[in-house]
Amino acid sequence: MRTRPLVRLGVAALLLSLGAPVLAAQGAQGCSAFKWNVAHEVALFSSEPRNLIAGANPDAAPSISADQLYTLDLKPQEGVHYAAPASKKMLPDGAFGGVLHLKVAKAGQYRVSIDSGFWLDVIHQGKALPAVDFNGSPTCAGPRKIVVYDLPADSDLVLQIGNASTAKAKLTVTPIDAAH
Amino acid sequence: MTLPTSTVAAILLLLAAGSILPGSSLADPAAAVRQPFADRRNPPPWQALDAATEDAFDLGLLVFNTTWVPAGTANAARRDGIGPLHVLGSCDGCHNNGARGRGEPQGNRLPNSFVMQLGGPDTAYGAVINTQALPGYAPEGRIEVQWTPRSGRYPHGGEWQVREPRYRVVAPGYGPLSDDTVLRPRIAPAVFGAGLLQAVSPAAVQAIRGTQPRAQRGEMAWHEAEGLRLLGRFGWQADAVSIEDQTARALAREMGLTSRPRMQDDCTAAQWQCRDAPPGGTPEVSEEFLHALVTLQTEVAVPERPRDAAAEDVIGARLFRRTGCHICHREALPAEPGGTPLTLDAYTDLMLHDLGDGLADRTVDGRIVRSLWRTAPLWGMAHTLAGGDAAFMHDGRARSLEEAVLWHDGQARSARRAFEKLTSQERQALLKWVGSL
Repeated sequence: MRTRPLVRLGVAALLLSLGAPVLAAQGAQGCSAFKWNVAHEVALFSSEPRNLIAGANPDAAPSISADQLYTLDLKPQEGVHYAAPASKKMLPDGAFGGVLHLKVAKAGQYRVSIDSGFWLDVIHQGKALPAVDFNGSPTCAGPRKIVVYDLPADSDLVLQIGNASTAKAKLTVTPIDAAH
Repeated sequence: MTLPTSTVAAILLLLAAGSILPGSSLADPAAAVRQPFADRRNPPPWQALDAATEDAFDLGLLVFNTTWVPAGTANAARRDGIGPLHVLGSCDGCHNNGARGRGEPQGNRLPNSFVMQLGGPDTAYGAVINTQALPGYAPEGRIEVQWTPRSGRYPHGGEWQVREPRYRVVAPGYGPLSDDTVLRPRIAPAVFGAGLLQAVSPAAVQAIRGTQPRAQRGEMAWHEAEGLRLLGRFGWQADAVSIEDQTARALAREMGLTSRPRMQDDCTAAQWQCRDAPPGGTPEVSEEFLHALVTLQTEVAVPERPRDAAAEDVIGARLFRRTGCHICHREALPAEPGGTPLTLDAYTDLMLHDLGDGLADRTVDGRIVRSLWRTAPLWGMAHTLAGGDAAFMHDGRARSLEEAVLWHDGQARSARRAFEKLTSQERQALLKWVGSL
């Protein structure tokens, strides 16, 4: 189509300025659209994050704890060596990824929450644990996607992030009983 | 043991008529297209593939699962161009693991696999309400649903309950919708066995139509395309004539991605900033990727029935017939994929039926629009139920097979009434059997 740069710029600025409160309102409503009560996770995503650089392989991966918000620096996925292949096959073009270690003291169901629709796997003894459930809310800024896993106690688990479209991600792990 | 000639003749007659009971240990060509889905995330093909087709099938699964990113994303030229307006970013987001979309059994939430299509005169919004938008673009709105419980009693005792939805578009981003606009709520169907359904000839469908009583007779969904008269067979209303047609349509409307058959996405003239957005290529989905997506859906198998399902067959199949469900949900559908004759236990007639006002779409101001629905295939039902949070009928309103049956009206009213008149034990046997398909 024929371009009209100044007119389009002006209207785009107007739309953006009008759109900001609209999007903010949708974000709040979007978080309430999760099928579970996610108040605990939403509160965590509003807390001060700890910055971490995700590992490019399990040997270089940092450890994370439950009930803490992390801002992760991810790496170009072609340079990431995972503990096990991603449980869902996807095109890796331009994607970012990373590896973390996780250990929980109490066995049970945990939510892994992330602020985008990136792919998650929890690896236990070389195999991806099956997800118990998942839910997403594209209009919620944090969290946007939650996957539920049944995690064993005191085991070295590897949390893998893949097919991320950006080099940063916010992530939390929460026990289900803490989330009502 | 030697069978009497009359018995052999009777069996041959039954086979020729295609009315042999499914699950029988007699010739069971339908079983050939069923495969175990050991890993739900990696559905197998229904037949052995040559190397080139296998490569395309594998690539198709990658593309199907991949989340597309905004145009211009670094190093992502093969998968960029999403939106700017869209519903979700991947095929898998709606058709999770290739299966029918799951529902939201509680509250007033709508599942991610739900889409509000539009019909009628509105031109500002295109074919779909795109609820997502890239930063800097306004989404087209949100969809809200209100559920009203409806209940009743079976003649032989026992209560039933269904929930009736009313939909509305909230916060429309591009002006109010016309009162005449038709809201067409839809949930993502499964893709399993699509290639096999594509291999059913119009003549076979016509032949089935000839056997249906007048009151239940289906309408063949003919469409004119490129000077050809083609049978629609995909989508809730059989409005897509092929897997490629359906795929290109979904890419354009729900993901904002252009491909060779559809070089325009769902941005309308009123959405100039959407139309002016930089593309992720021309088209955005390459011919290689489109071919791979079509190959995946053409070759993907249908999940096999549970190993203990055969024990349910005799009673369940008999009740299925006694209630008249089989008139439209055909238990034997002849197909010729690649020229090989097969009988599909798809439980559809691939035709359109009027299922009454309760299921019909409505305009924005609530008027009922006569709606015809393609008989939904029932194969893979056990796989669907095992996935949890089942959502049946075109918009996922039915939370169970029982609710789904109870929504049948119009041309299916007699079948529903026959179901209602069953004893509780018989209803459970029938539902258990359908749930094992």
